[in-house]
Amino acid sequence: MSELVIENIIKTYGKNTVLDGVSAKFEKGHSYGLLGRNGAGKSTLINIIMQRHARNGGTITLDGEKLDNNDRLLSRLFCMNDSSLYPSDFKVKTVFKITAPMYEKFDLEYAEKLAEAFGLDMNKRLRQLSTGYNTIYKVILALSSNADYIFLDEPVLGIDVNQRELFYKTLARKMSEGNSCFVISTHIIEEMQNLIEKTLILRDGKIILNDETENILSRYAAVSGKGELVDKFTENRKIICTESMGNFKKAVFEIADKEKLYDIPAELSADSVDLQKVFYYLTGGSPEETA
Amino acid sequence: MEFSQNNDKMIYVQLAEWLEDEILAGTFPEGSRIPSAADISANFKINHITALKGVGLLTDSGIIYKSRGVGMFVAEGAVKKLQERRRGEFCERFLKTAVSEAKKLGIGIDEICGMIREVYGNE
Repeated sequence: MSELVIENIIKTYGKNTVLDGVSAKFEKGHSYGLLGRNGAGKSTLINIIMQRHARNGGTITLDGEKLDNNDRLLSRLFCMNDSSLYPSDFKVKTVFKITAPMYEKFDLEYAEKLAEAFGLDMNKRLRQLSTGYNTIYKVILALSSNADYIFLDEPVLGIDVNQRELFYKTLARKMSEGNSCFVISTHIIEEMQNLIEKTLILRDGKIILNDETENILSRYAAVSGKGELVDKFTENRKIICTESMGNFKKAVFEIADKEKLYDIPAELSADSVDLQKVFYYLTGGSPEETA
Repeated sequence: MEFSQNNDKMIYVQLAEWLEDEILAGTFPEGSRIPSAADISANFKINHITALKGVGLLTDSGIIYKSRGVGMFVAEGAVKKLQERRRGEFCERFLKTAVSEAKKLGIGIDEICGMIREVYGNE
């Protein structure tokens, strides 16, 4: 099984530590969600893996070999993000033709089919593309690259709901071929939470959670109702976050071993918590509301 | 049809139940081929490993079977098997919830029975 391993990655900008010893493993055939609030270090981490940014420490290996300055290994990685590698007066079809030979398994025919499905005019120049299509042409390149490791940094930026739907379906199908590893960074967690098999959450340059999405979901639950009863129930439990409104209280807590949701007293309501909510609570909730 | 994480049941269990419902409804008759894991993943926008896990629940219980290189098919006798199992779960899944709600509202046993009779007859 092919794997990309990053160990103890450190990145500082002056006195500011952006990545503080990040370690993770990405395996071919699996999909990962790389989540974090703005400035958590997601894009920096991806850029470091892609060798687009220098790092201050740590190692990156692909199947045991160091990735640094190894073009043969780097051609097995594809990264789409907001930056463009091509001059803005290039036509989309030219960009496709130039990119294709750079990746051994690139499928140009598939790329053209996707362009048609997404309604992307291949004769347009990059600078003529709207924000949405500027994302779409890069997403199409990524999906057609068939690279072993595909990094998608904000792949739905500016894309309308119909095109997002098409993207998720296309991505799911591509994932099921099992020939690539997908690492996806997004703020639109809710729409992608069923697609990512494993979740990594970055906070202040550190990975605070790295587990199968399913395990994460079974680890947290919410209980709500009368304040005193919620307090009593959560007394010896690890609370992630609470919200109150008058005497109504809601607490998100970590489920103890084998504790079943239906053991919650009848006067209280139990709710499961989705990945977006887990993310929200673990990364500090919402900034203070100002009335 | 969408599967949600805001549900006591994991996505793969929700998928398995959906497949069972469609087999019971005759959408996928016995002997017919069910959609591939790739089609299921794309349609529901779920990870293929989740899809395989959900389908796996049905192959484990003999409701569907895999034919290598061809696809997955609904087994003969699947409907009967599902009906028997679902009957066993009927009380736990539906009646207990209804009775507990009725108690909360102070609806007596005779009144519930009357309501059930009426609903059943109207269907």
